[in-house]
Amino acid sequence: MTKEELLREFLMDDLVEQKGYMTKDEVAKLKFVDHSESKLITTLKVAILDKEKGDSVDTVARKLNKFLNQ
Amino acid sequence: MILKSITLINFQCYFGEVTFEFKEGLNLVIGDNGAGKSKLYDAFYWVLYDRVFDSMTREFQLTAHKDIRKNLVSDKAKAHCAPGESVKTSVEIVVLNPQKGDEYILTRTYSVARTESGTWREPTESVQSALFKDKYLDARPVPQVDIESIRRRILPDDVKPYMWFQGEQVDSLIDFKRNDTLTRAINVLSDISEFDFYEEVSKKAYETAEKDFLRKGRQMSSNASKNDELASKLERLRSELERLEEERILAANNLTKAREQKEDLLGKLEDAQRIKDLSSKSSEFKARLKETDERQNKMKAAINKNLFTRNWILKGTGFLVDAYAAKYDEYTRTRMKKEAGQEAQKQAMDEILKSFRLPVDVPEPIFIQQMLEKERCLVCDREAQKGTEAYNKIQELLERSKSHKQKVKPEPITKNDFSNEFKSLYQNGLQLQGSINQVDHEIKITVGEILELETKYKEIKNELEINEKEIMDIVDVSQISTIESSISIVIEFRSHDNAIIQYEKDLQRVEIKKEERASEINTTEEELRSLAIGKVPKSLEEKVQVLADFSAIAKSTRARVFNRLIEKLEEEANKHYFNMTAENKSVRGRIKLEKDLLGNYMPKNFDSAGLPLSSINDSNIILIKLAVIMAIISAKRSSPAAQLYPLISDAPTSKFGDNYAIGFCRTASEVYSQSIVISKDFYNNSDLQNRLFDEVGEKLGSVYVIEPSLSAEEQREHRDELEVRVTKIK
Repeated sequence: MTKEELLREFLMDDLVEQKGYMTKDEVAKLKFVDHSESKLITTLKVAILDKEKGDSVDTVARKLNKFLNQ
Repeated sequence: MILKSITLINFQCYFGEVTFEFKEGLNLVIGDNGAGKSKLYDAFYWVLYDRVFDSMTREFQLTAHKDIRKNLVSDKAKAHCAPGESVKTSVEIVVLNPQKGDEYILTRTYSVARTESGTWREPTESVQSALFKDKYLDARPVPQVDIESIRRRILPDDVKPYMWFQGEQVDSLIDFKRNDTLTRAINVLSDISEFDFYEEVSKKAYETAEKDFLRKGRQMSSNASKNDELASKLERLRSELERLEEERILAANNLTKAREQKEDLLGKLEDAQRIKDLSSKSSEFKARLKETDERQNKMKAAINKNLFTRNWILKGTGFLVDAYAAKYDEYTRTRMKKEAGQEAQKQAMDEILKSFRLPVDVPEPIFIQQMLEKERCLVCDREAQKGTEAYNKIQELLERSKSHKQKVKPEPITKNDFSNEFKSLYQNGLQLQGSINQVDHEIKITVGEILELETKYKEIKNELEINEKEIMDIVDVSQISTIESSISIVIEFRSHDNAIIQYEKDLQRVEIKKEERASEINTTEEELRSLAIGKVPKSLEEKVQVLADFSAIAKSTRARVFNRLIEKLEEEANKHYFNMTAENKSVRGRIKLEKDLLGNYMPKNFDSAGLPLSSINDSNIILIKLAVIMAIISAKRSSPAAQLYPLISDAPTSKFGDNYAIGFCRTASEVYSQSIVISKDFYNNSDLQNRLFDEVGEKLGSVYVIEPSLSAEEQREHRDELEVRVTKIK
């Protein structure tokens, strides 16, 4: 799966729309490189990129916490 | 990875140097039994894993194993080796990474030395080496420490069982006894594990954030000790929730197993119940037979007794009673006549005696006798000569005495008087006459009853035989081996039924408890929040919320992707299954992936009405497993397994019937980027070969035929001249 496909796969979940993050139509048009104010989307992107780099579970989890502290 | 070639030098039956070159697509190595097919598979295995198949232990054994290293080097090569020299075997594979254009050359060698005395020195270790060649540079050696990682890159250990297998291992690819067997295959062969990664990351991140949140909450709490108390309560509740989840999994597992076991027995239950009922009936028949037999024997024994107790011994003696009565009547009359005569005589004598002047015996008879002898009366002293009146008068006196004596002792009528006995006999005879008349009738009735019992016995025996035959007929056609096992099937079925009810209750109970704990956790969390006198920083709250959402979404996405994968798998599996069974016309059903309570899936076979199909043939069961494995690979075209690892299979259709080979090869060519199939099925069958070549078309790689090269009959007695002739036909 590409990064974009992966991001869309997560955002297509019903919870995303239920919690008011994004509608499914918006998700369908989303590109990975698009800027987003949503912390959830940014969190997902960070996780996807870090995995691509080969980081371990612990490292990615730590990075996410650090990122969200900012 | 694409396996470009394999070169064998003096390896087992391969004398000299033999190379097989392979391409992408379907590659075939065809040969008869004993041609060297399995030894080629051994070569692949040996170069990577230092092991070959030991037919004695039925396992792959290391080179160090005595029986293995003894047979590694070609016998012909050894036969040509002079004392004091050594001979080497080696296998080399060339593997291409098509994405990068890199090549790996892996080689394993093993040498043995012949001593001067002719024995062999066989070291326990082989030697492995590797070369790496990228697109631009020449091949260079790989350090020993890195060879292991190269091996895993060529074929990861967890992928190997699904990519390299022999025919007899196909059945174990999916173990129906393990609920998670398909889940594990999916985890290995698909990319679902990527979503496992995100699930773990999100969970860990959230836990860290929550700990921060709770720590901050404590700092801002109006009541630190209460905060601590609630925090440890929260921890305890969460542990309990985890424990309950484990309990739920166990209960769900037990329930699934019980349901499966019940379902397994369902197919046999009807027959088992029928056998049990028939067996019950047989027992009844046997009891009745026994009872009838006992009654018969009792009646037969009673006949002897009745001879005397019911006077059956007198059967036919009625005429004797009559005859005796007649005789007795005659006897009585005669006796009465005689008695009457005696009485008359006595009366006459009494009259005579009454007329005499003197009493009886005066004078005494002895003196009277003297007087008669002397012919003289002693009373009056006068002569009484014989013939005179005086003599006669004296004689009368004597007669009178005699008569009197006769009167006192009358003469018996018969010599022995049995009149009482005769009378008694007569009376007995009268009494018995009634019985004698009944005897015939009683005997007739008794014999009739005995015959009736005999008939009944035969009827019951006949019914028992019919019953027993019906039981054996069912045992023959059903999967039930003995009558005893049928009873245990019924008992076992009921026990699983009861177990299911119990496990369902357990599951329900655990789930209720889980809900209660979850609710308690929420309440405790709220209590904790309510203790905060200030506000926890918004950023921290937000972080916790975002990561909680991330965790929930990651979990939900994983489940969604997995379910979608399952749907796709089912579709692909049926496609492959139908493809592989196209040539065979037996009942095959449809594959359905059924989910159990633990979320594991298991392939099951159903008919068109959606009912379980339990009696399909063994080949089709194995094909279902193969079809599912291939489906995992083909369902996700970007799957790492399909792209990077070749299928190498030795006699994959050995467990199937003959008409599955084409279907399997055709499907393999569609699913795997490269497959190397070693098979007997196409040997000496050019029609089948040509059909396969036509159907596979441009996906066909290389095709080789291997044959042992022993020409003379005498060469077949030993292995010293054995070598393999390899011919490339495509």
